[in-house]
Amino acid sequence: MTLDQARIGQKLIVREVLANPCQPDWHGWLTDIGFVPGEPVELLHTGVMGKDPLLFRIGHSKFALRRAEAACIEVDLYA
Amino acid sequence: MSTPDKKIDLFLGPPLVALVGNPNCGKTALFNRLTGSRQKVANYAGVTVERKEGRLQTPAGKQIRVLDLPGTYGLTPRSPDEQVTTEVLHGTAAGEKRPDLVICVLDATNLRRGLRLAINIREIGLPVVVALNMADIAHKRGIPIDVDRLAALLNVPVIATVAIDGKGMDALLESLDTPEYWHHPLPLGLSLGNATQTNEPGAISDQMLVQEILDELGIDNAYPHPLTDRIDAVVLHPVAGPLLLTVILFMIFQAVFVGAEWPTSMIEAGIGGIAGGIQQIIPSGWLQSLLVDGLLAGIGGVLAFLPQILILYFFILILEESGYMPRAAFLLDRMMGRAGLSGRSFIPLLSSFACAVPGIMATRSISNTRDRIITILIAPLMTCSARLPVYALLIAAFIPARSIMGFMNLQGLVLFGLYLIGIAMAFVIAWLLKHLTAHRQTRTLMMELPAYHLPRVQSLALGLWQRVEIFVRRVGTIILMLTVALWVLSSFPTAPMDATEPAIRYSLAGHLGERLALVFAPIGFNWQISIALIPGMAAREMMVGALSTVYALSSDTEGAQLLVPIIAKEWSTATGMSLLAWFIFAPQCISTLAAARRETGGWGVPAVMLVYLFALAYLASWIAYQIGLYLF
Repeated sequence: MTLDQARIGQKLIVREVLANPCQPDWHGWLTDIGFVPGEPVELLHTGVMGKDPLLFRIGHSKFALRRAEAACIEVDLYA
Repeated sequence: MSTPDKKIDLFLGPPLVALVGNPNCGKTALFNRLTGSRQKVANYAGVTVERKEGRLQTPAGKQIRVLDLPGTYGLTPRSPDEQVTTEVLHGTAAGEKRPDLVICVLDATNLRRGLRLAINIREIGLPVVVALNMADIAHKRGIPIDVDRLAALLNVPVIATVAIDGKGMDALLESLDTPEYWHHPLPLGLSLGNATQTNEPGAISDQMLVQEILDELGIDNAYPHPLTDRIDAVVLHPVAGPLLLTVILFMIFQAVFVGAEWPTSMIEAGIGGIAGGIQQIIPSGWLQSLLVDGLLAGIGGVLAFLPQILILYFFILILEESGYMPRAAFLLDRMMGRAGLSGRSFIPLLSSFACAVPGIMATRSISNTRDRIITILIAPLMTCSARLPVYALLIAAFIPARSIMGFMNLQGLVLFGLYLIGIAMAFVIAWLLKHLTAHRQTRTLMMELPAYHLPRVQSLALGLWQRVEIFVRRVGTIILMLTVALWVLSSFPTAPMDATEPAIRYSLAGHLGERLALVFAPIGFNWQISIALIPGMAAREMMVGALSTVYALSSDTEGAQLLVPIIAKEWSTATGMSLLAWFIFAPQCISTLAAARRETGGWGVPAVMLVYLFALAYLASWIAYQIGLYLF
């Protein structure tokens, strides 16, 4: 699944950051801010009624992403 | 000596050390500790990114220049700020030499992300000293910190620091006296080594190195910050969050406008006192007029804003330092998104209620160029405090002090309404621009919400001082020059001996005003208003003083009070409404235009700003005038 489908509190692990042909910069940026394979990630908050923006805990930090950005991140359930 | 192939900038002077680190890692606090007050804030060549440089002396007496580079997550730049950091580190920044050594500031509570940056900087061949900052917080949260082990793994010196109370500063300074630290770094002390990097793409192998270091140090993946999580549960709550934000904004507004009243009136009284003194010492004539109406009016115009700007900056700094600001941007992101802006536009727009100039300067943190330009364009629609004296005069003259529903005052409601119209128009314009610049651009958010910190008094004081200094220097010089220029316009040529009308009518400004009156007749402005609009170009509140001059009154506070019955009698209500509508858009503040030019590096944006605000102001005034004529 991709990260935009996460439910609040679900424990996830980043598998891969997908290349987005429309946004070639995103891969590097998402990697720089810590979305790298093996990193634990969790959805903490959403905007009103589950809309944008989404707040994730990634590694030791919290980052707000938009749904489109989160959709570039492949995740697995934390076993 | 042979001529070099390409131009080589020659940099003499002491060695250069650059501070690099992730945003929110305490880098600026460390910089302040290292350099104290010996720092200067300027801009990088060609871009509007702030350049902070300081000097320090090592225990052995070595002089060193220190550069505080903008915080960055990696060497893939996302914004003009990060671009500067990358260019300086690669030695390609214009007018800046490549640093001789980098102090890489790592947040000990978030080592994972910082390590990647440290490894990247090592890879481009710069000597690195690691400052492992926030060591105390890491210790408190049970994160193991083994400085020696980390130093061995990275093969660079590592010094534990607590920048906010100065721990580790001496060790850090001493390390700069060790000559071998200034050499290029040796290979990493890891089993994976540097060999693996040839097979894997850069980021992935970096990640493997980081993971190996973390494993070696015995650092687990997740160290939650329970206090921050508990605060966020309230602050980001779908109902409580926006409510709290509204209360905070309301309180800041109250503080800015109520709290500044007294100091502002003191400053104005002080300036008035000096003016009175000058009028007694120097005989009336052009010299007295230049000093009082030109220079003092200009200095007063700048100083009168200081209390408001100080209070506003004080609150903005607290919100920034505590970590609340990105939360506010998070909450507002969706609402701003409708208008085609991101939550980051919120801070500049908030600042613009005091004055659009610091607001426009604050747009630098917006990484998307289009968002930034739109924010600059709509910033003047936030009713700045300079328009308050004009509103106060017009509302007093034309809106009856009637109470509505027992507890609200009609005058207050009209003032509130004028603010609201400005905000609403800003959203409409931003929305229109979103659809005009149609190529459905996706704006990135990717915004960090750092852990909450208690703001420190010293860093608040230093931040306040730096921002005020910038404001006074930049705005002060512009306003001062303009007031003097406008004084010349309104004073020469002088009135003939047998003049029957106020002197300003015979001046260049007077002639200009008469021409302008033809343009402004359809929206109900008479020649007095048209003349007063000219000095109002320097600073909007000068319009009141100019009206007093036109009606042959003194241009001090008493003059303004005497003005109310005069304009109430001489102008129609429709004209009053028209002028109120005009000042919602008020396209004539030159300082704002100059700030927009500075920040965008060209005349394009200020020209668009002037034209569209003028057109809107004219249209709104015409509508208000027609409604006024119909109703009264």
